[in-house]
Amino acid sequence: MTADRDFRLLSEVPDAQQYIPVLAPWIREAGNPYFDAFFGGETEAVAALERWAARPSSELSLTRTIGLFEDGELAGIVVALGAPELAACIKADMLAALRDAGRAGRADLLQRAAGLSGLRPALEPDVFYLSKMTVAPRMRGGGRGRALFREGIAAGRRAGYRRFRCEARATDAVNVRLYESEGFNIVERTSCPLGQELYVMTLEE
Amino acid sequence: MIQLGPSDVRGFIVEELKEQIELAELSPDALVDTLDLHASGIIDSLGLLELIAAVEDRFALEIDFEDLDADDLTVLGPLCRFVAEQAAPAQA
Repeated sequence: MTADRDFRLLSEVPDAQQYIPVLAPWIREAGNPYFDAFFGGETEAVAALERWAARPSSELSLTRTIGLFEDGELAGIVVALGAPELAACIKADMLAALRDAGRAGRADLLQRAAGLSGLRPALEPDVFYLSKMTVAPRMRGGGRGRALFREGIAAGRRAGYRRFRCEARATDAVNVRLYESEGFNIVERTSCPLGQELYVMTLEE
Repeated sequence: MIQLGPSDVRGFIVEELKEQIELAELSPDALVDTLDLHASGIIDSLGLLELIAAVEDRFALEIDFEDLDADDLTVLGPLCRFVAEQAAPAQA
């Protein structure tokens, strides 16, 4: 491949906000069916994820999203952050969800969230977390996903982490194989009342 | 108007989470102010949603968390003090 590839944290890219409408559907797809269930539908999910990507306190902020650029074009993303930061972000995101729902929508939000309970177990503080890895649909194939995943791990190593975690839908054999080929092992199978199943996968160096 | 104090908030939260606190093998009567309800596994992200909603409903508040460090949001002592402070202006 001759394309010029580089990785950049999206918050450090000029005019990064322009990527938010592109990213939100990618993040939704990578996280689904969780996000549609949590936010109450596709339209609601995309709108909320655009707000989350723009908010620095969010797990899905541009400040935590690594972009793969190819000849200057955004070819894919991975969200990468350590467990202590993730814990703080989850709190901020839950607050944002409550605020967005308002008093009138709160009961519905709690009911939807209850259906997703138990899916993502808490991380130990010395673990680096990779998620929402996505390659632009028309650019799939060519090893971009693997390159993004490796860059995410490298970001964790640079921050001093030696334990890594990601998750894969139990039905997503392609990503499970990719993560396994990078040294990750399935350590837990989780599920939630709505029926989604996840493999929790870890790498320890 | 009765002044809401941190101990009132604490009493409510501990009662709300009594079962989960005991499951975490802690004593509801002997919790330290520095206990992080999230890090200790007492609540997960859903539990946090439920707890905030319950506190706001119980004390008829809409808490503005903008001024609270996210790390403190699930730490028992700071959370209770913050909620009590938020209640103060409305009751003054």
